[in-house]
Amino acid sequence: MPCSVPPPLSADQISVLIDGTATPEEHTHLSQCPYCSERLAQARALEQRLVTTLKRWDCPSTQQLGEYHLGVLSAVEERVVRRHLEECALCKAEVEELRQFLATAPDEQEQPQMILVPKTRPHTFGEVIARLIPQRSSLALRGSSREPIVAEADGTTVIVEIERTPNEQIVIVGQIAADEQDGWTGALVEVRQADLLMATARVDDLGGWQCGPLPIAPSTLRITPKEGNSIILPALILAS
Amino acid sequence: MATASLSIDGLAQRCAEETKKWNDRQGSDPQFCFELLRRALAKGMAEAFTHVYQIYEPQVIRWVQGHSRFALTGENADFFAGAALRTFYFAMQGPKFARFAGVPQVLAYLKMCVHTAIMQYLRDQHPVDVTPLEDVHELGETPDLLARTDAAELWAHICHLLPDPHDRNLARCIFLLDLKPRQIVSAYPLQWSNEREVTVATYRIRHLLRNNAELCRWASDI
Ligand SMILES: [Zn+2]
Ligand SMILES: [Zn+2]
Repeated sequence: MPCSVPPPLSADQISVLIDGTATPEEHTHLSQCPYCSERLAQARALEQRLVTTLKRWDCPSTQQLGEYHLGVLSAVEERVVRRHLEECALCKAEVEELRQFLATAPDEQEQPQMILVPKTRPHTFGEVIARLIPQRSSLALRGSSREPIVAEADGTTVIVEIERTPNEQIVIVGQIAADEQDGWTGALVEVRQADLLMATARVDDLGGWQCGPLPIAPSTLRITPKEGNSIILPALILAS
Repeated sequence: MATASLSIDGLAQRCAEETKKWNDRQGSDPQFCFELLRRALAKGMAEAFTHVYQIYEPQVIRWVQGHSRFALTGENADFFAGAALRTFYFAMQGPKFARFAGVPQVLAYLKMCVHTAIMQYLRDQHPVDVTPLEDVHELGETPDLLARTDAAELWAHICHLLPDPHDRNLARCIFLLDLKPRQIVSAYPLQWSNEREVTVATYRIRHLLRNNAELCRWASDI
């Protein structure tokens, strides 16, 4: 298929069309010419493929940039980030924003504007809601009158037992079992009641942890490993 | 009073009082908070961290609300406060705590975690790779570059095609930073004096890349 309105757009003109800096004449040509439109589409496909693969692939994480700014990176990491900042305008801008943010005293803060943005939560802030697995009474843990709660998320099993203390409080005892057990050592357990943080615990190297004593109330658990998704156990309803 | 002899509950009570004084702009004594933070982070005592979380969470939420990009996320302030406190918890564990001289330095780190939580969220909200690598490998008969495609190798290949550092810099602006000519001129005024210069150089780079058979195969096969 030849160009409908010859001469065909040059490679240079295709390039400015990709950049969005083309003239009205070039746009008119495009609207009248399927051949050149197809050439532009192909050029754009390569461009988009390159951008989606390469975008910020070698940028340090925001946390590394922050530690760089505060001067708490090791000498080697510091050098790598400094060199990166010499050539990356986006990271440089992020560090500058951080500098301004840290320099702002609380009462100089602008009131937050209310802009409603459609929410598409990115995967790295992932949290998985655990699925409760129904248990038969015979599986109750030793020494407990109550059945343990067993939940599963992403191949990790969480077993929780709620023990009542003599003075009408509860202690939550938990165990994590995963293929990558080491990844859970040192994980942070948070217990919330009515959205308030009531207790935290550290998962030990055998996957065990314990929180409490706490008031008797529906409790939500969040277990976060150093790397990876948090597991959430939504309000464990405590039967009387 | 020697802070080392105080219980965690005793420290937490004093730290909460001193934090309130500090917020009310009265003179405050940071030693109780510092010892509480030390036990929570350097010593990894969960009970101390619970108090740290409870005492500082309101401040962290105010920081989130005051961040210039918070409104762009559409999330609740609690969401980022939690994320920042968790990052803080893991980042400050153990010997690293010794690098911080006092409460202001530790809190600057916590405030930094607020910034990084929001910025990382916004970075991740525009997912950059639409084709998971697994899918790429499934394509079977793939040319060399495609079979081992990942950003580092692709970028090395492009650098090989663009030996001139000036061209490489521009390619970085276009493909890694996704900047338009106008943004490139304003971000790198020493290298570029006007948009036309950028456009002409960009054209040359695109021409070089489009005529590379390996790259074209890679782009059309996906
Ligand atoms: Zn045409
Ligand atoms: Zn960067």
